[in-house]
Amino acid sequence: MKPSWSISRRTLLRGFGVGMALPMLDAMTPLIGADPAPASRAATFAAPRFPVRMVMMNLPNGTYYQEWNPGPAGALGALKPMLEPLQPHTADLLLLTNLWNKSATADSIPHYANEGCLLTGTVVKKTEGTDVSVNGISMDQVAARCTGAVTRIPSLHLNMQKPVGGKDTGYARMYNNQLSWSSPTTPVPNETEPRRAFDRLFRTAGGPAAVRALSDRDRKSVLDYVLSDATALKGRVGLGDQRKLDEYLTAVRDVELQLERASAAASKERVIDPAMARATKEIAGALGNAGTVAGDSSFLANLGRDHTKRTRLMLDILALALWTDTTRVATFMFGNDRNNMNYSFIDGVKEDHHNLSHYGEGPDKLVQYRKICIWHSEQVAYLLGRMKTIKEANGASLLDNSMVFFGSALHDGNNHGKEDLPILLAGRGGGAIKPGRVIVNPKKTPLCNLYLAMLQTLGVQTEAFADSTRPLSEITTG
Amino acid sequence: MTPRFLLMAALAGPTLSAGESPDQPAALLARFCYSCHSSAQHKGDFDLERLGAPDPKQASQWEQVRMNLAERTMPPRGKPQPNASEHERIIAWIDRGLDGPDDSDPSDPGLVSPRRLTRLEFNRTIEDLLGVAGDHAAAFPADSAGGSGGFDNSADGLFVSPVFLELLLDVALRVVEQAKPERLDLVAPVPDKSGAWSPQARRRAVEASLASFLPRAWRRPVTPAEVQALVQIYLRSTAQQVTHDDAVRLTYAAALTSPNFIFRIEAAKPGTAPYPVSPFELATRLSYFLWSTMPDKPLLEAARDGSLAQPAVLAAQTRRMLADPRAAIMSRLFISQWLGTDSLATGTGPDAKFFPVYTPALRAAMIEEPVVFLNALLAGDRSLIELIDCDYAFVDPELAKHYQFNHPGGEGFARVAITDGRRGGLVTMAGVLTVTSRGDRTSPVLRGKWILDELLSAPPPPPPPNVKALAAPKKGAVQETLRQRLERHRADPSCTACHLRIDPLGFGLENFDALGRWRDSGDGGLALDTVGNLPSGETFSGPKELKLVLMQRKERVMTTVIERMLSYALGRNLERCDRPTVRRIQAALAKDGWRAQTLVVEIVQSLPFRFKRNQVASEARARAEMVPVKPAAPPTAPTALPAKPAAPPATPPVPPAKPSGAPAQPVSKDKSP
Repeated sequence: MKPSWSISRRTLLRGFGVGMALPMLDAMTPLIGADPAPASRAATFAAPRFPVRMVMMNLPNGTYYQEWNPGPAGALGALKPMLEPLQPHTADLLLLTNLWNKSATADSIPHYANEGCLLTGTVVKKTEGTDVSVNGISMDQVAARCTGAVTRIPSLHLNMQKPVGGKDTGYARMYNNQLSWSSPTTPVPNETEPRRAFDRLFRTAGGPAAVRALSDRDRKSVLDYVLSDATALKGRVGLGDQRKLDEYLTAVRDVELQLERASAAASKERVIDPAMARATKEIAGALGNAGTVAGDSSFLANLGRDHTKRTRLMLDILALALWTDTTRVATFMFGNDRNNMNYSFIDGVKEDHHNLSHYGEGPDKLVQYRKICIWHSEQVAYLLGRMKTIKEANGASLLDNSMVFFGSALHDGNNHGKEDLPILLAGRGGGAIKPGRVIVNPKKTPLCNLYLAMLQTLGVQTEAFADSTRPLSEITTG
Repeated sequence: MTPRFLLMAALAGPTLSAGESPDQPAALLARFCYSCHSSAQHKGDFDLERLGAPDPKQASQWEQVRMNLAERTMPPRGKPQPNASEHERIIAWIDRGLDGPDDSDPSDPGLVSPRRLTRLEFNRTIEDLLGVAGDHAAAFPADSAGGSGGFDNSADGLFVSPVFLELLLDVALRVVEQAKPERLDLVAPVPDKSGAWSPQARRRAVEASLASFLPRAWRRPVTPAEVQALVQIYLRSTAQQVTHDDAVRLTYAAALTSPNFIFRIEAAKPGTAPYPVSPFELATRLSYFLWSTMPDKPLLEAARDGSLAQPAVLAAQTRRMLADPRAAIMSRLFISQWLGTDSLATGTGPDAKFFPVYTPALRAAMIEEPVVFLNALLAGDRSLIELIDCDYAFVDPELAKHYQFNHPGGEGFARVAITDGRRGGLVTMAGVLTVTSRGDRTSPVLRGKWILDELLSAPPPPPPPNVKALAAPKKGAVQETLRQRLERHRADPSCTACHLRIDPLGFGLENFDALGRWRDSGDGGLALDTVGNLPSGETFSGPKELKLVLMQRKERVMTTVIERMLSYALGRNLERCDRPTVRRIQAALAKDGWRAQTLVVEIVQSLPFRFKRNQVASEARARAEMVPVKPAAPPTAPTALPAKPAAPPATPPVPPAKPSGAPAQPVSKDKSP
């Protein structure tokens, strides 16, 4: 096998004749043991024996909480209407009450102050733009700094909605464009197109490839050059401008690291799981049929009746990325909080999501809002179902080996409450988590306590995250 | 600032000290406002007592105070009101405290970070540089879609992520491979006697090629050291048995991956004083403002000989570039993003399921109409007042049908005369009316808010915390109209102040349905309610009269146009330091009949467009500073919007005792004593 991952994947693809890439995987023998994480990556990492994966999914614009409320502590029984589509998965679900993100309450203005810090647990800086900061890094990035050292990409970030710009209620709208922040001032961009997400993960870097693929040495040579180029430039620009170049330098170093890891991984003998290859081919085929609409803005395709199909395609890609150990950490957004996307692709819905979430205006709105909330649960159920069918080398399902978080930054869409957020956790985290229950926490239990417990389940050795007070160990002790 | 006001500002401490005259503005503010907004009371989380005297550091809160006073939404009805003279004095006091004198010169060009090329700028630049057209940047993650100014060229919305960089290298190599050889300025090596290329000859050829190509690619002269740094890539590559051509391509790809290409870097000069950007940097600013691409040859020539620094040459270049078809991109990006009509292409708007007439062709025409309109204004150097109202419109066959006009024939957009006042001007355009509607119905609130936000730069503050949403229609024999429901909602005092400003403007557009079609009866067959009663006492009905109301405030609308285009041109949100610039441009425009090209030329000639300054250490710290996890201060008031460059009064300087004239005030002309 040639040393460059881009070449090697492409070379292997030819054998399949569909331009499909091979998952980079040691037949589910995780590449752990000697921790290849460089010293700069602070938190220590002791990965579990079999890789645990983590997915963080958002529910924009709250829910209709009175029909989400999981009821008293104990075994999980019949689910309320907002969660009803997840009924087949109750044995794999934990419903958690009374969690809150205190940082989101620093400002009374809803949405941006909530969603922006959903995964950081820190107070979002109230600004319309020039000095955006979430004052922390998101928990997925804490995880990715550890698990990312052994996978081809550190983390995967998907969103079914394009970024939006401008300002609103005193905040830069971009706060809601992503869940993930790699530094207080660096948002991690999402892939919003299934095709591009797939191409990046399993084919060559987007679009038609260059005639001559870059070798690792070429890449290294160019990266070294731009690194010194940017460093030299830093000496010539003002103080403020240096920050932007630092952002560039960080990106260069990350790509270099990725390159090193990919070469290390590529040098190992690979065994190809036929089931994975089949799944990859299936998605490639589906993309061929349900790809972006040529000539039209790709987003317009989202408006069509096939938004559900596109969402599921993206979820398939997510599951494949986890299964193939391409990454162990992902965020998935059904859309941006406070989004004005028209959800009329759902039968009986005529208006945009955020507007309908203020259902107090009338029963016709509530009817539509409920449908939207239920639609989200249906898609989560789809992902869980998909992950359950994937059997892994340790005999468990992909879902058993994962933690899937699904929750909203708002208690309820209409009145925006910030306490008792609707949160569920699916999967067994590789056996650490005991699902099938409702956990009733004391009021105002920090959401970051849950995050801390999840990070520890992943193997991240840390004693605190943001405003955590202790790990929410209740998820592991049934 | 007059001595009197300096004195006053100095006197007015955080609390009113004993012995101050009760007629002084600070005392008036205390008298009329502290009964609710003191440190003890702070209704709406707004503590005026703690705020003290108008201070640019607290600009955002003071702008809200000023606006509420100016529009007489505060003090609320039923509370003691300042008389007209007291009212004026408080407002003038706030203005002066925040603003400095009206005739102050622009002195601070503000700060702008190096801007990464947007995806669109990347594509256009590659096309001009290499002759390779296409959506090369499609592979990159979507840009954050606009910083605070709402424009996607805003530096603060453009990040460099590892994913971006990883893909950039591949894309760069691909476009170099596709480039027309002559665009790469390739110099052939000189063969030796045997006809072969010696390594030295090859190296010299690469050096010569780069020395010619890099200044175009990096939009500035380059140093020999910079060329040599790139030559090393070539040498390393050929040392690995890579062919000469492949090694050259890799070297060029590296040049396009460099921050010198993907950022618009501007060199710093020492010191704290503002300094002019170099002629090449100015050429780049101008070119990306008007064309969203690299400078062309004549512009680079004017930079090289230094003449671009002369105002006359800069103006001439601006007008030359405006006349070029490439300038159409500016109209498109600017007005679509300003009005929000671009969002029709990205997910907002109605569903064709309920509106079968809302075809892709109609949607495209809705997005296009304001673009065509602005292009015509610029091409004809017409008055920008026509943005508010005019007696013509541009329609294509789709829109003509939609508007029930006769299209003059042909394919594209054509100008039609308007005689009834129903169309003409931005507020009557279908794109604007659609983007301010709900999926299947009109919303006077959204439309009213749009006018306040986008035309009058007088955004209402966000709803108060835990506001009760609009209540469900009352059950009864007679169906409650939307207006009745809104009025019931407004009965809540915490809602009244803003909705009194928002809703009337929107009702003036009720003659247009959710797609902007004319109608004479309302949703569900209810009688149409098109009357607006403004807090100022003005009453109007229908779009024609609404436009008259806006014409009463045309200076204010013009201020908004200036602010938005300046923000687009600078790639950043406007700050208070830009107010003198906006005032100066406004004065020049007023003198010149508000001509569209004058706006562009004045922006290009302005201080912030031609100058920059260094960020001082304290600012850098402030940016990097982290807010503690636990907020130190109590939650900010709902009225505390961060610094918004609320428009300065556009009228010429007035004596301290008299506040600025009515035309510059938003939605209120109730100013006379």
